[in-house]
Amino acid sequence: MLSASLSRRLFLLCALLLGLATALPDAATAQKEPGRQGVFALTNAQIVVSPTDTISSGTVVIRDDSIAAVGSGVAAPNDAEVIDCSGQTVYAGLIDGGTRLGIEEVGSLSETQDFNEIGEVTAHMNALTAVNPNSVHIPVTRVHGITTVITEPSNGMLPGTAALIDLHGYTPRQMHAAGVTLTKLDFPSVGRQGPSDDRSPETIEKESQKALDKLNEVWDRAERYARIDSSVTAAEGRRQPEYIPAMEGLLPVIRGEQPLMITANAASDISVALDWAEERGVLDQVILSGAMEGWRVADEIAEASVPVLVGSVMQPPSRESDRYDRAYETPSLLRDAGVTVALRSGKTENVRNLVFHAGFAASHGLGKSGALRAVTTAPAEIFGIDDLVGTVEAGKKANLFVADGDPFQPTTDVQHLFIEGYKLPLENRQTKLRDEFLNRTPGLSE
Amino acid sequence: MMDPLPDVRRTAGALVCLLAFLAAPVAAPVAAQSVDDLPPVTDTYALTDARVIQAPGQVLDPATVLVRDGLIEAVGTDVSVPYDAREIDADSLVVYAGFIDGLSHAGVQRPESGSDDEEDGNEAEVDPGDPPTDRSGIQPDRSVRSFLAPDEKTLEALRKIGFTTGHVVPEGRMLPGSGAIVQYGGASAGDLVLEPKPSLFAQIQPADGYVYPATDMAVIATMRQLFREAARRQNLQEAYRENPDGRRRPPRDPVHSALFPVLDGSLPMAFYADDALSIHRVLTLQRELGFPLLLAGLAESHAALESLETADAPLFLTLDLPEEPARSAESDTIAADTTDRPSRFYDPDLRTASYRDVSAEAENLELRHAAERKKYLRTAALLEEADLPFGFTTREADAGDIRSHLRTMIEEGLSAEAALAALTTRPASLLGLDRRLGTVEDGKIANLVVTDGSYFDEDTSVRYVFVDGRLYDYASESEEGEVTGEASAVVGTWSYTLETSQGDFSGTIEIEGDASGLSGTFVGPQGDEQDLQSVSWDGTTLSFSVDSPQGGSATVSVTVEGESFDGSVSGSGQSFSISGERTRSPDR
Amino acid sequence: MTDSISARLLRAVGGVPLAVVLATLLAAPATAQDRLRADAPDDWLIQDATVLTVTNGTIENGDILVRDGDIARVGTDLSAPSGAEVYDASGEYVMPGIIEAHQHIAISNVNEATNQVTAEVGVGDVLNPYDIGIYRALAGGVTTVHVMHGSANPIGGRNETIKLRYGVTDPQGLKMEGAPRTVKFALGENPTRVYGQGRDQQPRTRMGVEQVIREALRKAERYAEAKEAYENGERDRPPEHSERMEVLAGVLSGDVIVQCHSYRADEILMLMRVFEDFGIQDLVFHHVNEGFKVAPELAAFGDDGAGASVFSDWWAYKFEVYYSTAYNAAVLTENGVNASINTDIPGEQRDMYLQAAKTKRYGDLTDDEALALITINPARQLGIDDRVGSIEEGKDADLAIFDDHPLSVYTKPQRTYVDGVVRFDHEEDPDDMRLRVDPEGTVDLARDGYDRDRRKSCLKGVTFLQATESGLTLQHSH
Repeated sequence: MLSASLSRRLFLLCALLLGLATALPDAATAQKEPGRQGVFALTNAQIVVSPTDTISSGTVVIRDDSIAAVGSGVAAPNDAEVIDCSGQTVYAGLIDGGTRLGIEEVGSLSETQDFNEIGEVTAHMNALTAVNPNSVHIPVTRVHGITTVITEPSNGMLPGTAALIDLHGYTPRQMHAAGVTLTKLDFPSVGRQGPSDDRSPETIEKESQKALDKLNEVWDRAERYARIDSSVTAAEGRRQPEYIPAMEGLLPVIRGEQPLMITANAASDISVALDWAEERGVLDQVILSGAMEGWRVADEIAEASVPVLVGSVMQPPSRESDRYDRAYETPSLLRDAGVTVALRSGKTENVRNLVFHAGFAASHGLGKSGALRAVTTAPAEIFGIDDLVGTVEAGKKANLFVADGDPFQPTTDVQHLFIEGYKLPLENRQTKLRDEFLNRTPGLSE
Repeated sequence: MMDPLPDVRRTAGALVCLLAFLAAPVAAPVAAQSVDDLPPVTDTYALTDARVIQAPGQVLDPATVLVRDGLIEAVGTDVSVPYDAREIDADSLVVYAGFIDGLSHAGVQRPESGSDDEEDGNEAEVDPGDPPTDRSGIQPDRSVRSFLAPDEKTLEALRKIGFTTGHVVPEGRMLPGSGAIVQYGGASAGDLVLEPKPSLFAQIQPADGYVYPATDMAVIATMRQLFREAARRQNLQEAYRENPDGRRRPPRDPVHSALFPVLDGSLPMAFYADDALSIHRVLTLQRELGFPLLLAGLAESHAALESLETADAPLFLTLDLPEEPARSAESDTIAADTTDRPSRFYDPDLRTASYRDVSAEAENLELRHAAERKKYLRTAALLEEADLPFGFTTREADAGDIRSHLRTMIEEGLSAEAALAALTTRPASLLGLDRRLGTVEDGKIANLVVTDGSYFDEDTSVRYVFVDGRLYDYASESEEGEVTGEASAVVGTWSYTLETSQGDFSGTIEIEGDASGLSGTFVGPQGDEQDLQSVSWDGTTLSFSVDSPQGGSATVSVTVEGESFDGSVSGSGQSFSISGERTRSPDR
Repeated sequence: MTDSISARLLRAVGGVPLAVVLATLLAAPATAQDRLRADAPDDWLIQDATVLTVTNGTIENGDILVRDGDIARVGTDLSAPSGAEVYDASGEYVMPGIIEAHQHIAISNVNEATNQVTAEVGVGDVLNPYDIGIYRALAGGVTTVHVMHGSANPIGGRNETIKLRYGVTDPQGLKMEGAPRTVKFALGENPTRVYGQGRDQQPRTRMGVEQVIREALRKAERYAEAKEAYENGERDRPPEHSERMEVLAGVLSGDVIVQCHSYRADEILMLMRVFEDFGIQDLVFHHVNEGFKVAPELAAFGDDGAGASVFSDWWAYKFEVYYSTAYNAAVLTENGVNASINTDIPGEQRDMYLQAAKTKRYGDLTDDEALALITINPARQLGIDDRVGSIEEGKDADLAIFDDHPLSVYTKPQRTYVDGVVRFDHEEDPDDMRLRVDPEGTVDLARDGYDRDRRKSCLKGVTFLQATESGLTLQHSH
């Protein structure tokens, strides 16, 4: 391990070299450079094309927003800016299956929170609307190679739609990744809502039954609304149903056009949710989120062919009687049962720790390639965009990063980052604060 | 407020409704007719031909026990019945020493809810960080004696199952006041007190309503503060007494002064601590501050046994036991056996593997709870095995459960002899009462329990209880009313008129049911409803009792002729005529 | 259970006395106050490990000899004396047991949030050895924890340094004997929210926090003076006894180390100024999210500098931590501040080693620098570095064994020794490790929404207050 001061000097040196290569005046301005698209050739790199396919040395060519070519025999095009990646590895951008990125800034300040609209049934709310492209959290997250996340609302049973966003862009629309939108259903829970929930088991059961009745009632109405709405479209002269925004919001789900992301953690909640979805004929649209106790009903989930966004991984188990590391093992227990597993951090300010969640899942049964799959190809498949992202292959969107080692290891540093072909500076407020204060001037003098 | 005994005869006019009558004092509910209504003629009793358990393992059979002037005058096989004695043929009955309750609130009248007005009124003005001492629960200057009432319900219920004496402490928070040794029977509050100040009651109980001390740790800190400041004040006062010349008068206040006898070692702190953590915390505090200690509760003493073994304190084990939850394991295999990976490091009973099979896992975990429950049931046996002398406390137990809990403890290994000792001789000696109580020997206070079999048999009932030589007769009492007459003759609605010295009152009585049992409601003149207890009907006489919400009960006995009845209501040493007519019957 | 075990057995064995049957059925262990087996060894030879001593470099193929719970020898090719158990640690890594300077596990109360100054209370009086959190920390290689009063009050209660002797049920058995006394202070949003916003009492501002602290220390000074005057015969009576002032007098005399919850640079500077005025030297800041801004001042405080126990990367959960950086620990370390890393939240105390490893990414600390953040540095902050915090002969045998380098994300704790006895072993670890369960309870309900709730229930004092308020009666149940 290099000493800190030596590595800092190296960093400066690299920046200077890079600055010269790109005809920029100095490192200081390089840091402030916004993202830019162009033609890039990442040469001499180890390329992890997919979790199961690695090229030991080759070139990745990025042109505009896409990957133009990948391979050991690929030459850097003449117009390309060549980045020598000797000793470094190219990975596909990592995907987090559940966050509040962009819609929450400071945890204790409600003025900065836009994920929690008032109301039990607010299916017409869209997280994408409130995404702040300039949130301080976004650059803090992406410097770890995380390029794409689900950002999701909460509060109430049907809090609205979640959106898949790329972590670069100046408008929410620019950030919206392939238009992926999921309707979220926070399924009625028989679990305890955290350590300070001391309701009796009977009360919890009663309340969750009541919530389930309410859900069924809402769904009945939504189905009726959709039926009437469809029949109006089918023939002239029919009267529109009374306009109900929340029902309108559920139309795409009822019509089978939009995935339904169901949050459920307790084993029995998951079972009930799967049964419910089957009864309602939406099972094939369901993506399960959370699934802390999914391992207890892994076979049921596999049987239903429902994919799961597991997490967070690094948390204590759901019951005092459970193993201390049960949550770390959940992804592998589900995968072993045949479930498609992606990971979610469930965070806002520390989505960056997705890489460590993946590392813990890897060492607890999922394996390194299994963990990599759970943050790349698996979420891409789950969200139906595996033709666009998830691997380092020609034709795919240029969401990728270059690291000097295993991206899950804390010892590793990310060296280059591309989102939709934009080469982004690896800086954020946290690095700037470090730069300003590491050797503060003035120091001790009064 | 402290006078819960309104005198019905002096209360004026409209207030003298039936319920006020019912609220009047009833020294012995059902025995009232036999003992209290008439002067008892004699207070000398001879229990003849009895099996007398003088002390655990010490039996005289058959023998006579002679009670006179509140004392046991003689016990023996050749005691003759004197001329003035009421003889009770105790053939096939068993006589025990009255049971002694190591710590309870029996006889303590709870202030009626809402009457504690200061809490609502002054709430806003109290600084939560520095409330007045009484809001903090610091009231060592109070005495339980000012709260005693002989007709308090718990006391009656405990007496009925054989408890005749108790170490009674006031209710409250961390330092509720001093206790008293109380006889569980007597005519007046003053009558009840056998020893005025055996202890200062304490518990690790934060203040009510989130004021300081709001946590256990602050309660403990407050105890330290009080003790150390009391010591300082005591020193100052002693110095002042010796030499007041030129000295400032030392500070004086009832709270700290109440602790002086504790500091002297002449008054024990009686702590209630049920769970293992509290037990440890109290013992640690005691080692630190060095006060004499009495410990009650101890439900989890199985988890603190080593510490208790080294503690120098009288112990009183709770007669409460954990209840089995609605969902519980059927099998009684110990959960410990279910692990496939026994540990070399921890005790085996820690291990319960969980499985992916959710129902097997649940079963397994339920077993673990069952095994844990077992430890509580076995705690008394464990104390016996460990040779720790202990009595019992009824504080957290329902009187109705106590006998079955004792049976459970015995099933789980407590010897019947030790159980009896824990009810009699042990508490007598632990509370320093053994010269007066605890055995059936001449010269002792006539506190006796007379049963129709071994006390620990399920079928046995308590027939008589003597407290201070005063007889409480439970022999004639049948818990359930008997219905031998044609039920339809009484079922329906009756209107009644009650003739009292203050005038007549009327209301209704609803009776429903069939040959398998009758029940009903007594509706007072102002519409207040009370359930009828023990409704009996033999074709001629209809009888039942009614509990007053203020404590006490009245017995109604009437002769039914066709659609009307005539009879009497009695209780609290009085009797009034009652008559009535049926206004609704099943066939009308 | 209608048919008890004893009744069944009695039928089965006929004439055997009941007591004998029961004695065999539920033998001594059920009553022992340490659920560790009585014969659990504390003499060990740990062989062929990569030994990360933290203070004296790394020993490849190293051996550690443990006698009577202490580290007797550290070296290579040691032989096992008779009676010592051998643990083959080839391919594995041994590091000093991890020390966490800031946690709230194993205690029944957190905040006495009724008064701005509550130095007289102490969480050491309400230790709860049954907390499953102790075992979960052991399962992460943690052996010593500084359990703290909450941060509701500018001057909170005393903290307690405990050893994670899971299995011990006497709360006293958890205490690390001889560890210096410490007391909690708290600055910023939490006390101003509880008192200013919550009760309309001072302090509502950081100005008020300073004056509450100054007033309390000044009073303690007077108290100590009055006591001394009495002892010297200059006063006819001692002052009215005050448990509160006794502790604060201990702060003034240097017997009690102040461990202060803080975030912003200005409030950190404020407390250092106040302490300089009172001549107080022993000061460790906790959380210190803006410590990096005043690292030179922290390093220059008093004779040995002020300590800083920080989070690895937590921020933005409230406004006073919005301007944070995960490089905090590294910047502090580079500036010569004695820094440690803590996790604070019960439930997150298991992966301390990963939190330390993050300083590799955020600031490129060396392995030893990173490991020191969770071993010898917190030991220094707690005044227990003569006993724990490194693998040195003569120290307590508190050791954590990992299957991979503890700074690797893939590492897994294998074994944790506290005072030379194994309190966690990966190979012998069933699921349910609770020391006791509710006798009237049934299977636990799953806890859902941990992430949803954790800030509210755990992080920082205000919410402890609420949790405590609603849970008051619960605390007296099992």
